[in-house]
Amino acid sequence: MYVTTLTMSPPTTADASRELSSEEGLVTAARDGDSRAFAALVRAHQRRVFHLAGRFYRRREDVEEVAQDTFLQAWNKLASFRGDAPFEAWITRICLNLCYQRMRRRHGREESLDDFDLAAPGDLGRRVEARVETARLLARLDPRDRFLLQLLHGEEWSVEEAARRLGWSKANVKVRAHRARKRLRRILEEEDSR
Amino acid sequence: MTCDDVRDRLLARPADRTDPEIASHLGDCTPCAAFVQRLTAFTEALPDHRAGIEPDPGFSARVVARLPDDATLLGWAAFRLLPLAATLALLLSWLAWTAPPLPGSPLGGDSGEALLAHLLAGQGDVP
Repeated sequence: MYVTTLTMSPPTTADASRELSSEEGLVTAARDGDSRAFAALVRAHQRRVFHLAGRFYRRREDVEEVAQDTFLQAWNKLASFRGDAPFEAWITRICLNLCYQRMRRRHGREESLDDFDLAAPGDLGRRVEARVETARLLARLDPRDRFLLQLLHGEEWSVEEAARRLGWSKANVKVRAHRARKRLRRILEEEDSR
Repeated sequence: MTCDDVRDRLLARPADRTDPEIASHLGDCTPCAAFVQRLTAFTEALPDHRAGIEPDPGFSARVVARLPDDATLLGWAAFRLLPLAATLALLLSWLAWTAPPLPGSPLGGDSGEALLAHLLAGQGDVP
């Protein structure tokens, strides 16, 4: 693409479409205010954002709201996207930070068990029981603890990967994960002692 | 290895339950075995614990419809710049108030007397 832009002849339609077919080209065009290019970026990453938001929220309206806010924030901050990491990593970080802020704001507002899709088709017997138990334990956890445990055990990210994707230090992730696990342990032991 | 050690280690690394030392402890300690069973069920269920909601075909259009237009951006910028403009106006007023008068001005020096002399001499109105 660089070769294309450095040629002496003016860019042709083919050059322009090649530019827009690459993610870098879409980002550049969107940064210049091209909403169609931005829509293409949204379509390319919307499943990933829904998947991530769906890790923390069960209702479609919540997931949709987080996803929309993610892309709106991306649009507003496009000028700060330097391109030294993939766009996917950048959008993931925006989405995670929004989920985290939102979960902190909702502190104390427990998610009801009704919010969880407990009996998904195909689930039988023990699996349904495990899903109910997981949902119940998650609902008892502090939202910040839930957030981190879902990334480490749900997304199966290492401490390094979580730190990189969240933009936190490794030490911060380790400390928070340690606290979250301690609180999970306390909940499990409390319930066992009853 | 104590119950505390076993639980701490398994909370950080659930896969360590197959470690011979831990497995031996779990074989002898019923409360730890029950604890680990619940912990394992929880961590193993987490990867599947998501809403599984997919974006519908109109999602990108709804996002684009919410993008701020130029007028909104201008309004937003004006709103954000309002405190700066107010501070600047206050600073300029303060500077104008405290700055010494220009040389030659009837307000210069002992300003009250100079101004009175200027007016009494009929040299015009208050500058």
